[in-house]
Amino acid sequence: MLALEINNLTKDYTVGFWKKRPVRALNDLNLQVGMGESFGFLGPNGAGKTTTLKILMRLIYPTTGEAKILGCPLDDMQMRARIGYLPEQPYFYDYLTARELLNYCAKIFGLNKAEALKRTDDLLKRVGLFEAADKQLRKYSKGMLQRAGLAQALINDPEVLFLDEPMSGLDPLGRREVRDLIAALRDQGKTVFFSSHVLSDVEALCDRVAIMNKGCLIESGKLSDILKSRTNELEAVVTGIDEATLNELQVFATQIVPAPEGAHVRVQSDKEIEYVLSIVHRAGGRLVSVNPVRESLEDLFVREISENAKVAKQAAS
Amino acid sequence: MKVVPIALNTFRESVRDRVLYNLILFVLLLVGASIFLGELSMSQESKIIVDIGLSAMRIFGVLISIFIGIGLVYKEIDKRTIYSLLAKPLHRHEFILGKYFGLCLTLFVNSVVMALGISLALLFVKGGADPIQIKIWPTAYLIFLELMVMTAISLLFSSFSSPALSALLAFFLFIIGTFSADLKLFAATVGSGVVKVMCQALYYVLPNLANFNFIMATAHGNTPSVGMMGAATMYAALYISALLAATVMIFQRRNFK
Amino acid sequence: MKTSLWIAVIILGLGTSVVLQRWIDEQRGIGSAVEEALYVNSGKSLKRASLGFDGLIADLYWLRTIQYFGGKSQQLKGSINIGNVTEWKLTLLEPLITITTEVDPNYVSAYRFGALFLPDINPESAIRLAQRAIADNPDDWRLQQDLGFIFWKLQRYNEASEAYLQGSRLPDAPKWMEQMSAIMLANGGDRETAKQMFLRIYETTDDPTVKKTSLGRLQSYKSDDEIAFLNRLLANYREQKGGCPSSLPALIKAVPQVTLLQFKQAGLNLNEELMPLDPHGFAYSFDAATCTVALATDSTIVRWRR
Ligand SMILES: Nc1ncnc2c1ncn2[C@@H]1O[C@H](COP(=O)(O)OP(=O)(O)OP(=O)(O)O)[C@@H](O)[C@H]1O
Ligand SMILES: [Mg+2]
Repeated sequence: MLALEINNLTKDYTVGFWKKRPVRALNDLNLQVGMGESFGFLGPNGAGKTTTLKILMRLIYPTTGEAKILGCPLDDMQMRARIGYLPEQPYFYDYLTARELLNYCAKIFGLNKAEALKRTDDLLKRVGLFEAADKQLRKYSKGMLQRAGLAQALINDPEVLFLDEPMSGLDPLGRREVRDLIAALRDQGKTVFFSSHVLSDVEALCDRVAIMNKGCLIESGKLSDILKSRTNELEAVVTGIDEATLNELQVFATQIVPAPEGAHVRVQSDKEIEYVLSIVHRAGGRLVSVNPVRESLEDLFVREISENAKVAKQAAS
Repeated sequence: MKVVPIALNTFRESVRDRVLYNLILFVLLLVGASIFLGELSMSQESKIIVDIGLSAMRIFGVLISIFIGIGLVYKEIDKRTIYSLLAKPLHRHEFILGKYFGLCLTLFVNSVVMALGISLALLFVKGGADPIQIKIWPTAYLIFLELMVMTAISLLFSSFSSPALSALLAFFLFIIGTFSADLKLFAATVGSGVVKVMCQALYYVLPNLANFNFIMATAHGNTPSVGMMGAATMYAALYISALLAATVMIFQRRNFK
Repeated sequence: MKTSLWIAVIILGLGTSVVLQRWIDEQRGIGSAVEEALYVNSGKSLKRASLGFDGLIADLYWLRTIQYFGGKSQQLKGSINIGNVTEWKLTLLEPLITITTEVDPNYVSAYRFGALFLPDINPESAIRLAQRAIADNPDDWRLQQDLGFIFWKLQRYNEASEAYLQGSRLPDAPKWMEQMSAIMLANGGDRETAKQMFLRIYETTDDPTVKKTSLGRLQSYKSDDEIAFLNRLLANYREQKGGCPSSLPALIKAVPQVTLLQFKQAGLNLNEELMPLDPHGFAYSFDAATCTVALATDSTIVRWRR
């Protein structure tokens, strides 16, 4: 059974007050996520990530197409009890405390009192809100709200989790904590489907990703396959070298970007790196790091968009 | 039933938002009126207390029904609190009913406390027990029914129009509903066909709030008959069901953007 | 849940509530809005409570007054006889008009309505209302006319004369106001005077009910005159021919052409067969046995008690 199956999903929003016209937010999306996978849903602003998640959560209705979660249609209530959802920039009843919010959610899932209390306490500790549990949510910071949101998404111990930008609004430490939390969930065997536009969040967590742009699926698959590290390009960061040495390096490097007290040197393969190393050593410089060069998400978008544009141009001519 | 936790939470919201603070104003009004009347030592004291008390109960209640009623669902969508809720195993109609009965619970508590206040004030001005202290309760009950109808009306309007427009429409219906008997009279006396039929149709479709208004009769020491109370209860139940069904139908089609 | 279920709830809810509403209305009797007038005992306090919407409230009560009146006349279907309001049990008419005029003391139509109908119901309150009307609107001569009318109805001709005299001195008052004052003193109890009174009311009112009522009275007087006239013709005929004519047209044919023309000018209506008609167009009935003329039994001419 698939955790999530999306078939030909399209969503048009109508905009304009007098002259209504449709704006396509999602275009014929097909996607499958297996059980126990952690799946990254990537894309720049306006790509259609939130739109997809809202359709899955029945907050909006698709124009055409359909989706199944855990093999069930979207309005299946039994299935609803087995999933969790964290909205984008979540906001909850600000007159409630985190504890009350979780209790309230537990009641909607029909959990009994003892179970609800136990889970509430566990989750509050788990998302690091135990101390602030009895403060009203209106006094919470953005990051604390995000954590409360995560907790309410987990109250029913869901099999599949849908998280819309779970890391947004968090400080570096908070990002790290949430990342660890998701990793732990994945290790427990839960399916996690989460959206983001930050690559590093996804890298550490995801088995597979899908990349969206302007409502269309651009690519999906293993992240490492998608981001072209297919070149064996390496980048060395070196310090303590002078102008003459830099010129000398020019011969082997594909690109040199001068930096304070040194330079970032790109080379074609590990063969060249040895020459670079010996030159630097000879000149009395120091090697700081050597890393494989990988395409950033931004690079990917730029590449994809320009390719799409090219295709469009060809089609036009 | 998922309606109960939602209703209770809605009630909790209005309590924490200090909606019931209007009771303080109400009590001040009653106490003020009693003291003032005591000074004047007029013969009509209890009539005036009943008039002021029940009318204030109605007005405060209607204000709550309209303003909170309109915000009930609108606020949830505007603040996006509804997002995480509807993803849970919860039907949209359960959500609507929960919100509705939550506000009704608030209005119920409000009305009971106010009616108690009026009874106490009457105890004070009468200087002892008197049937009028009991007679206000059936009337207060009918006012509560009226408030339930008004809440359902506000909820319906807020499900498809902006808060400002909803408030305007709800107030408009409140006024028309109060004077709907005049519409009937008008239909009875007007001669020509189309206008007559229109008036009659409007009379039956628009809420007839006069069914719930026995304030003046109560002030004169009369109470609505049991049959009338039963009929008013039935009427409220039927009318509210229709309003809520319409609200649910609209709400189920909505996209939350 | 299914949409059809919700639609069913809407239709059933509204439909049943209509049935229920009919039952409630039956229980509460005509116009529970009007019933309210039983409880509002002071238009002045209502004015204060109206929060500045007193014009609107006065209009509302005026509408209720007319509708109450109209509703009653509908209840008494069949006898569209506005001739005698005393029989209608218009208990709420006085409070309704009082409230209207207390909320808006310049509601002249309401005062005038009261002046025509209240004397039959409660003469004292009719006088009080008219006097308050004059006190609040001292420059309106029509209100003096109304007061005169009320006094005339109560056969208090001196006071009636005085009222007309007062009115005749007000701006825009017509010449006949002064004449009325004199007529009252000379022959107040006259039938001619009565006709004058209703003619003037008919001429000066804008209110359809008042107009209709006064016209009804005028037509009633006219038919009385016509009957008296026809009976006189019959008596003459019998004297000359020694017997009764076979029918009314036969009677008319016997009359010389010139005289007939005069009758027509005097306002007597004849149809093609020379049958005399009453002001509502019903043929007068002729009883050959007694040789007299009367209103047809189905005639809608008002037969009011005098
Ligand atoms: N209510 C709406 N009405 C009209 N257009 C909308 C509406 N909501 C979203 N859109 C459009 O749909 C497209 C996709 O929006 P969506 O919110 O799904 O993007 P996203 O991938 O979640 O972006 P972000 O990273 O900024 O959250 C955008 O072009 C947006 O302008
Ligand atoms: Mg988004």
